[in-house]
Amino acid sequence: MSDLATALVFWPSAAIMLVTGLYVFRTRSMARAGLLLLASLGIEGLVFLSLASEFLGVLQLLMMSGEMVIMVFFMVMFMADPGGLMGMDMTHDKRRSAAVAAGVAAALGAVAVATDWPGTVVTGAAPDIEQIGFEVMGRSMLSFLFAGMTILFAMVGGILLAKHGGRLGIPAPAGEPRDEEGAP
Amino acid sequence: MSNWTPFAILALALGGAWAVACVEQAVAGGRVAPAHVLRRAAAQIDQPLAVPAGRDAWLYHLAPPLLLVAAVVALATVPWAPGFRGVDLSTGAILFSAALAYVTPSVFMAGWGAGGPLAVLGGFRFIALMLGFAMPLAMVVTAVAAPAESLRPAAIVEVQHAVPMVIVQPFAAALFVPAAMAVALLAPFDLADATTELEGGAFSRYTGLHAGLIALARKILVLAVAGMTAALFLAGWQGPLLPPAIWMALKTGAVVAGMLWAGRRLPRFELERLLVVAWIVAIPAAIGVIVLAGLITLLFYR
Amino acid sequence: MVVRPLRPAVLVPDEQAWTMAGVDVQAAGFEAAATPAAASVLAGPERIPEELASAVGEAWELICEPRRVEVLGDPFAAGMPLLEALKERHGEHAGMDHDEHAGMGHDHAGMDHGDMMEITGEPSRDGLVMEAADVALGPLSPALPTGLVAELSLDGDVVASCRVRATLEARRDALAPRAWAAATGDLIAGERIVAVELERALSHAAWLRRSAQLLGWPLLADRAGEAVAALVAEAPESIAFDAARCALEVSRRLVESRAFRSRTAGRAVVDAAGARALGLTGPIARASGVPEDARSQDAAYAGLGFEPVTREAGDAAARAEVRAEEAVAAVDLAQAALGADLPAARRSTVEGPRGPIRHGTTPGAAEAVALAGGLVIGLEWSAALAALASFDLSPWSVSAR
Repeated sequence: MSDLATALVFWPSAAIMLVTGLYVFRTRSMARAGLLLLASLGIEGLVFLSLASEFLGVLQLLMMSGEMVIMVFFMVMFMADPGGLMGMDMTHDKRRSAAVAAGVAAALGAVAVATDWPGTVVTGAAPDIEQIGFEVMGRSMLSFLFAGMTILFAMVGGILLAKHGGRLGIPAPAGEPRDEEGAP
Repeated sequence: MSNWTPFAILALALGGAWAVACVEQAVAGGRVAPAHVLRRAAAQIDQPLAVPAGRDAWLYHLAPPLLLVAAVVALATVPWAPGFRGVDLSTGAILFSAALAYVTPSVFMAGWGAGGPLAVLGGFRFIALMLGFAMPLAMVVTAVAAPAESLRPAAIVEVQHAVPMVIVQPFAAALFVPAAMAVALLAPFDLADATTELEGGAFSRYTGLHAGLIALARKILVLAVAGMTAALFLAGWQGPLLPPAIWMALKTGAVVAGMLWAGRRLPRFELERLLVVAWIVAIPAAIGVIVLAGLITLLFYR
Repeated sequence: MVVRPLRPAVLVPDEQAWTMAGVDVQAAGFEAAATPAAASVLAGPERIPEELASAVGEAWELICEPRRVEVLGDPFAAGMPLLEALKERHGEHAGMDHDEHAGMGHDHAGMDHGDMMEITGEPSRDGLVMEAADVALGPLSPALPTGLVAELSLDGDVVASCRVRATLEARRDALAPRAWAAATGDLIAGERIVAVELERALSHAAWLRRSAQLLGWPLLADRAGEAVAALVAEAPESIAFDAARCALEVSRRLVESRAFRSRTAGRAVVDAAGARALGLTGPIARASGVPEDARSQDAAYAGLGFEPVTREAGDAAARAEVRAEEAVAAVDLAQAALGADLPAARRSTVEGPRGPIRHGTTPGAAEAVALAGGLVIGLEWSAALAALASFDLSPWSVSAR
């Protein structure tokens, strides 16, 4: 892709990513939050495509759709006000979480800016699929295996923790609202 | 990919949707009336938009365009002839799966946006179904790409010059076709919009232009899915005597007719049964199919 | 391959009684539409039951232009004229926000945000507290016979509670007019058997078609529709017996197939003791193993070689098999009675398609309606609807003279 075409795709996509990502946290509806996150991370696929990383771009589009649908599914399943129509405040522990968020953002920003990224000019004909394949199956196999296992355990564990009474599903006492987040 | 490709794909989408509608009429045992299809489409688009006081207007309005975009992008990845390979990306097969993956959020958005309990139920049923079926779909694409050593659909067609993939990897075909029918909202997997059970289900609240876009998108989806089946498993445009494009058209038409016919002959499956089959049978079988594909590649295609 | 004419999608108020009176809309070349929005034609008799008037009016509102009304015949002596009913609708709701109160499907949830969104209920069987939704399937729902109203409450996608009501009233059984006429002594023996059996076959065929459409099985729906088309005729002599029997035989084999049984076996079970205790009659009782059939006491039937059809299981599959087999047997009996010379005795009890008709009442019909709702609790939505349909409930309650 020419520089102009790359810029035309990259900058608007990046802007949309940021805006939709921001709105994920400003909306009260769980379904909308999940779908906005889908929009944000799906557009990231376009960003990859504009940077001549065809495989990663298409893979991002594919994966994000499935993942975000699962997320919407689980959010609607487990949260008390999935439609966002009752005006429940979904944020908790505001000061600490804001502090952690600011800290992590600063750290990542520092890493992004301070790192000496290797700069190679890639043409459209780069055989990235083959290189990615060898990388995953060779040098990075252990890290991907561990990452996959960790995600699986986190998912299963999260469901068990969210389900009232754990694995055996001891029912909640009647009439008590299931609000596992606690008081704001 | 030339400058004319996008226009050609759009023309193919519209013309193909019309052809699928005609095949639907033929399979239902009725008289095929090509002009009637166009008149009904025009009448539907003319209808006024009646927006229900539903749950979420944004999602309600965004669902039909998303479905249409997903369908057209999926159609664009199908290779039709050596001279017209669609969007000839080196990762075309993955782009096909990615485009189909956006059908699920759009069906969910349609159901959730409309807001009635039956519409929402339709949307959720479809998510549950596709969570189980999406993986075999994507994994089988990988298995079929292995002998071709490429994810480019045209390359996969070309590697079948000796024998079609359906003979080499029949289990892959047996997993792909039901999953493809499910994602194209075809009976007997039409759980999202079961017309009598859910009173129209996820798409029941759409009228006018929205309903027209959805109907168009569904027909394009059927065409895309059938075209890719023909390309990946039936050797696409390969064949003696006739020009490649004719072979591809014949094979795609046969797959469309077969899928629609199977839909009429089988009652709609129940969700629980399908989930059991998907998670307990299909996904392990898909892993087995990938292993088998690797063996076949090493033994025969190298 | 049978080539049929193009079928405009049609919405029909009170199709079943109309079919039994001799006018079948789907055989006349229309295709049943699931929702008013998908229909382009409203087909109805000249007069419709008054209870359906407001539902029909609201459905008419939802049918989009270009639309037309098709009046096919005038089988009912009483009721509101159809064209007048089209102007009826709820006074306080007009314009576009119809969906919440349309006769097709009430969605209380759309309006009452509060109880839709709160998850404060009891956890269901898998430990998750799911949102409860109330769904009212109105008198014109495609999933139920016209005139039957079901109020269901869903726990996720599982039915938590269900109440079924028959809303139409008449002085005779509108779904078995000839059996009713025979019970009140208006037909002599030979004519009686032919008319009653043909009506039984027609009723069961129409039920099979409706069930097949509910299950999403066009193959069975087409075969049953062929049987209905062959059996809907004024004079018994003009009926194509062979075509009807062939179509019914194929339908019977389809009903006994694994595909059908996978959707119906083991659902909504009524055991023999329960059927006797509740006073259930007709195919429902016979499918539970209670071999009661008013035709067993009829010498004329015995002369034709009649045997009651029973099953043991008492589930939805058994009820469907009983009806399918009875339909085939009914065509055989009617054909045999057409030529035979039978004693001219009058009977006060006649076995109609849904149960006996005796002394101006239909025993067992109201009990079935009361029972059906409770039996679908715990089933998933589509299974629950299929199980409800397996009872072949009558939306008519026969009022005392």
